[in-house]
Formats: sequence, C-alpha cells, structure tokens
Amino acid sequence: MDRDLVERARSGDQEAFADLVHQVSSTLFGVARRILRDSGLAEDVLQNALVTIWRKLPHLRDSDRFEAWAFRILIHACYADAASNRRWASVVRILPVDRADAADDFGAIDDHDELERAFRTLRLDQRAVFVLHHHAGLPLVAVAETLGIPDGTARSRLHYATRALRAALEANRDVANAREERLA
Amino acid sequence: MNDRLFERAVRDWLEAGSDRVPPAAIDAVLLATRTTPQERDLRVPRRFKSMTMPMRMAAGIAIVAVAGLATLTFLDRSPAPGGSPTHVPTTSPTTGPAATATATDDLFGTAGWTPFVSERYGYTISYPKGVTPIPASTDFSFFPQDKFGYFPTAAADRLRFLTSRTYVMGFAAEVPSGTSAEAWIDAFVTPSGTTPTCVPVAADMPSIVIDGRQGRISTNCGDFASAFFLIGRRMFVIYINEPDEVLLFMSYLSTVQLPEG
Repeated sequence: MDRDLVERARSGDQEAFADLVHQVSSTLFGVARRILRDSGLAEDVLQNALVTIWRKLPHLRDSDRFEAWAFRILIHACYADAASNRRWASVVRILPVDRADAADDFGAIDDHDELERAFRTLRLDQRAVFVLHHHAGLPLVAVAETLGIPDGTARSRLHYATRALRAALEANRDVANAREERLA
Repeated sequence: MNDRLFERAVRDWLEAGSDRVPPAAIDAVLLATRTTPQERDLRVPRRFKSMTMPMRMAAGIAIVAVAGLATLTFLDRSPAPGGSPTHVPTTSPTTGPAATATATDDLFGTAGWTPFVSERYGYTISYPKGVTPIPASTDFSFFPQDKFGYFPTAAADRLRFLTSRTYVMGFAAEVPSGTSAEAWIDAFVTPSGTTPTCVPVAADMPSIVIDGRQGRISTNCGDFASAFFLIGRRMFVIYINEPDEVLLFMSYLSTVQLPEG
C-alpha cells in the first residue's frame, strides 16, 4: 500500500482517497462477499466501510497498517449489517414450491453446495477468521491482530469452521460414493 | 478425505465468483465523502518521551495557573447567601399570528424527490436527497435453487442512505404456479429463525392502494415492513428493513408507479 497516498488521504485529500479506494475496494469487497455470501450485501457493507474509513482516517496512527485497519472496519461493518438485517443472517423460509425432481436433488448436490450450506451455518466471527486466513492469506497471528482478538480465539474459530466444512464435505462424498456403489 | 483434497475443494469453492465492484458503488462512496467531514484527531501524546527541567517547570506552572483560575471562576459564580442565581431562563409570549398548517397534495413531502426507474422490474419509485439508488443486478430467485431459502440482495433495487442502515428495496418475482399469492406473501413475511415470533396471514393484512393498484401491507410481523402488489403472476414487493420507519416507508410508497399488467 502506498504510504504517501494514505498520508494524503488522512489529511483530507479527497483525490488521494479516491485512488486509495480504487486500490483496496476489490480486496475488501472480496472479503465481505465471502463472509456474507451475498454480493449485494457485500456491496452495501463495502460502501459503509469505505465511508467509515474516510471519516476515521485521521485516527489511523500508523499508515503502514492501513490495510489491516481497513479489514477491521470492514469486518465490523459486516457484523453490524448482519445485526440490522437478521433475515439475511439466518434462515429464510422456503417457498412452498413443488419440484418434480426434488427426490433426486440430494444425490446431485455437489461439493460447492454442501460447503455453501455448511458455511452459512457458521457464525460471522467464525466466517471472518476463515476468510481472512484462507482467502486473504493472512497468518493466524495477523488475523487475530486484525480482528483484535487473542491468538487462541482466532485458532479455535478457524478450527470450528474447518471442522464444520470438512464434515459437510465428507458426508457429501460418502453419499456420492454409496450411490456409485449402488449403480455399480 | 486428506488435507490436500479438502483444501483444494475449499479453495475452488471459496474463490468462485467475481470480486469486481460496480463502478456506481464506488462513485456513490466518493460522492458521499465530499459532504462527509473527517473526524478530527484530537488526541495528544500522553507525555513527552523526555522532559527537560525547563519543560517540567513550565508544566508545573501551567497546572497551578489552571487550577487557580478554575477556583476563582467557581467562587465568582457562587450566588450570595439568599441571592438569586445569576442566569434565570425566561420565556416571552409570541406576539405574531399563530402558524397555520396548509393543506397540500404533497402529503409526505416527496415533491423534490428524484424518480428511480427500475429497468429490470419496470416500476418507478422516488427517493430523497442523500439516498443512493443501486439497481438490481440479478433476477430474483430463492438462492440457490430453493435449497437454502436465501435470496440474493442484488436481486432487489436498493435505495439507501450511505450514512445509515435504513434500506428501501424493491423487486418483482414470478409467483410459481401452484402457489397462491397469499401463500407467497406469508412465506416472504414469516420471520427468520427457527422459532418465528409471529405468524403472518396475508388475507388479514390491511389493503393499500398505490398508483390505482390494490395491494397488501405488512408492518407488524417479520423483519421488514413490506407492501405487495400482484400484477398478473408477478408479485411486486417494496420493503424497508426498519419496520418502525412506517412514515418514511409510506412516503416512498406514495411515489411508486407500477407497470401495466
């Protein structure tokens, strides 16, 4: 990250902030989209986070830590948004639609669907650790520092998330294998 | 399943999709920052890393001076025994004519609002200054393939203040054959969670007429206040994520124009 750009934005330079936004928005959006599993929501959260970043930039002490600081604001924006939009954060009722192929659906569910389903059952703080570690590539220590949580907490959240996803995937593979055996 | 297989499957799933941010979303942020002041950083260093003797003496004198001034000011403001306070708030009756309310067609004060035309769904809704419209970028469907019961937010046109969490959203969806309009509304309104706090009954919801079309409105059950208008087999839904903001919601609704059937 260009330190000079951060410094100029910090002192109120709107053009510098615009450049900064263009540099970081895709990264921040990618993290929000993966945590919330919804592009529209992620877009809204990104916008809220960017406005907050602009407002609070003068409080940033170390310009070299801009990215981690921005991640933290983004994650908190995700938490806040989920709290004010409970419908998207939990399970919505499914419309009563009759599907002729419903019975066959279970067998056709692929890994992605199972991972998706399992991931949606995780709490946002567990999702955040998982995404920052596996997608943003941050070491666990850096994840903990970014989120302002102890290392052990980050480790246990990652462990829980990984266990849930692995269980979902293995269950799906077992079903697929059993079906193949039946067909053979 | 070994770790490598698991990690590969997770990576494939996690990295799917595009991270491109729509330019309009960025433009809206940059527009908002023009009118949003930065917070001033008023913190001062708690202490100098090293204080010379003159600095220590100056600091000591300053502390004594501030304490002395504060004492003098306090004594000066203390009322004399039996006296009255220095400042007594007073009121005076207004002498001008009483203000009268003027009847107007613009019941909700939406005259200066800007119309947003939903290209995807064909309705129009107006929004006040400070709101950014974000058009829907995908069609409505319960996501994905009805299995999880979510729907993508990007399927709704969103009108929102960047500085608050209040959204007004709108979309239209085909009511599947075999599903009644009432059942569709009930399914949409039913609160999230495993133990719903209320049970919606569309047939009992109050009627509302917007743009000459009769619909239903739900304000006391679920996570949203929502209005529903069935045109042909398409259900038009306008909703606000803060059910308590009924007046704001009605203001938005008063500007809605629905497409022909």
